[in-house]
Amino acid sequence: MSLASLLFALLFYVAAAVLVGGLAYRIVGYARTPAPLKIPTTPAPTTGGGVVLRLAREVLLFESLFKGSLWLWGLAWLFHAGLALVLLRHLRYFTEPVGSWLVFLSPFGVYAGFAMAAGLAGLWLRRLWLPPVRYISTPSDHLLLGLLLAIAGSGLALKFGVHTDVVAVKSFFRGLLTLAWEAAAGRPAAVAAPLPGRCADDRVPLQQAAARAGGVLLAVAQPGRRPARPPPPRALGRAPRS
Amino acid sequence: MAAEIKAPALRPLPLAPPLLPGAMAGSRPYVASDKMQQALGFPGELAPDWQPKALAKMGELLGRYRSLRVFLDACVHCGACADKCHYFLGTQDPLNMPVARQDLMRSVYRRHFTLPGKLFPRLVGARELTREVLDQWYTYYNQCSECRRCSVFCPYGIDTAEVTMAAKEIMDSVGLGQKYSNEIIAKVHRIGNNLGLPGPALADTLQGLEEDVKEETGADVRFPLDEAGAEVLLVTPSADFFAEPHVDSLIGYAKVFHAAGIRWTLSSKASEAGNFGLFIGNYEQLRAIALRVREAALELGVKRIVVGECGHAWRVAYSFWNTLVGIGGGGRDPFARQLQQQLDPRYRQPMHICELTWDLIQRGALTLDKDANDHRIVTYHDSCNVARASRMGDLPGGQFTLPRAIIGAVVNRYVEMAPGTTHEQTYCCGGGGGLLTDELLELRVKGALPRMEALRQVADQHGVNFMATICAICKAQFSKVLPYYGFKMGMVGGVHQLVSTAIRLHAQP
Repeated sequence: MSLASLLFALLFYVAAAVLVGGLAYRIVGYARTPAPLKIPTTPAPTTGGGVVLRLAREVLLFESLFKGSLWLWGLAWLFHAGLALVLLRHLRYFTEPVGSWLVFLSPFGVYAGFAMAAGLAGLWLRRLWLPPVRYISTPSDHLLLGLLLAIAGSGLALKFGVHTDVVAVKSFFRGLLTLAWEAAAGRPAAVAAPLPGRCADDRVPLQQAAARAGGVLLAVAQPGRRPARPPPPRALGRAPRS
Repeated sequence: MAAEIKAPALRPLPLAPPLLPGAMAGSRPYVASDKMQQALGFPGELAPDWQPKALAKMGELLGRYRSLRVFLDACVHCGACADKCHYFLGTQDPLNMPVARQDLMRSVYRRHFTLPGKLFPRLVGARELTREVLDQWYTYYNQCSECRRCSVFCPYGIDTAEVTMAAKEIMDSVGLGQKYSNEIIAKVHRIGNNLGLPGPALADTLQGLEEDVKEETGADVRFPLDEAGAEVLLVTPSADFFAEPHVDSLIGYAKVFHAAGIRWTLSSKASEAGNFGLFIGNYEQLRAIALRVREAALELGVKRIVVGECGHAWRVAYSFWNTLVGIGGGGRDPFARQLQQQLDPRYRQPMHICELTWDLIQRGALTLDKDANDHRIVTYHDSCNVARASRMGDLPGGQFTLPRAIIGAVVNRYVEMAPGTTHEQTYCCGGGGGLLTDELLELRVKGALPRMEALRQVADQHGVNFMATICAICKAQFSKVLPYYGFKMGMVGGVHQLVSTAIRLHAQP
């Protein structure tokens, strides 16, 4: 096994550990922090089912963003939906046998790569172009967009430019997953492609993914409001059981 | 200063204005004196070791409120909120964009509480908490009315109000308090209400109101104070007792109680619905102020607690009273349980005066003459805390439909303002959150811009001459700033002011 293969294998494990560990650390941290005052955001649902529904709309459709800015919503959704499809398509390189739904999805995953890149480019242009957004941007905001765009770009390059031996890539990653390491494909580009991804992976959980998780936790914890009718006084008269 | 303040020009199109960095850098409220600070248990002034203390407080708040933690972590600087704040639209100061306002604290959070901020401060926009940064906090966290409009558009639901409240709490804890809010909180504890109206003066005022209403209607409408054994305890903002146009709504409530034959009372101990503990983000003050209501309810033995027309008071009552002091279920201490035994479970606890009036209207218990309001063409301004932080009735969105339903029952001519400026997307009046003070008048005038634009439109197109609302701060703020935009100050009033005009008392048996 070459040194390069070893390095990439290690990177893979470190990145995966940071992604999962960082996310778990954040979620546990949020879950352990109390929320003594209920602060629902209008229009707050009044039932548990309503909370789940609203959460689903926010996570999948970005409902609030839609109300806020149509352009931003369009670009953000293009990028996120594209990324989701691309990620699903990449399951081809990790699963054996490849499911029929994945075979069906795969061609769409290719177009999704372009959608993802277009969305990202639009978001970045917007960040550079609009004075209010430029004003609030930190270098890390640009860095993150750059990394994500590099992932999309390198992935598309491997698909349409520097063709790679996907069979070898697959066996390499299968090996990583089953802890049976195998030499990487002959061309370094194949395993180098996900490199920016590794960097972004480490950055994403520390901010955005964790934020999403936190938002979910927060929202789930927020339906509490005044009961439509207070519980009967008798029930409250009893000593609290705990 | 006041003479120079000019209202900004109305925008032809509701677009985000160009940035004017530093435009409002000079707008700061008076700092609370050491006496005022100490009266609330805060340090009197900024001590040399304020920085570590402030950071310790910030750490404490991060461990105390999940919301603050998530909000400081979550933002991706997407800018969806940037042009949603009335203060940004009115002042064009980029630090009044909600995200930039949050970043004043987020940058400090990143520097002192996160690994990337400790390792690469410039990369992630992290800053030390210096004296300059603290001064920026004082300036710009006192330019947020905690109206939560930005939170409606944020894909993560980040609520700038929570960040503002945390900032105010941290500043209070190191001796940098805001005079207006802290003076008022001290008055609530000392005298019983925000305006410092002592019991005897209150009794005198109420007696005067009884005489006025007798003269106007011929009916013996009562304004009872501290009457033990009454059915309803009305907790209302103290401005209702004598400020214009607030008092007209108080008369409206009294007429409703009279017409429905409900025995009610005010309390000299809890002669204030407002709770400025919310504005300064201090849980202990929030609770202490709310506890007065519980004590008064227990002493007077009332069966129901009804809240008058006050925005943030209703937020505190609806969303917080239950876990805070046990009104509405949730309290675990003996007094909370005693109160639950005492309150009538057939009614919502607490109840908004609009819920009470609407129930009565639906049951046909009130005689209303809509034509009496025909000199008015009415529109309705949703007050931020009612619209975005509470609810009414049994259905989602009741906080929007109930007040409008009441207006529909007492008024013939009603016009809605433009979509995107009402309901959940309503614009703040520009005076909430503890900013209703004269030294901030320029900010208040400019912050009212988006609401004034919407009002100008319906005034020009439909002849609207009355804007109803259910918040004491909205009423006071609009009375002050309407003239800057060429409107009459009497154009704003309460929903129960309209009820008061329409209700017929002599028709009662």
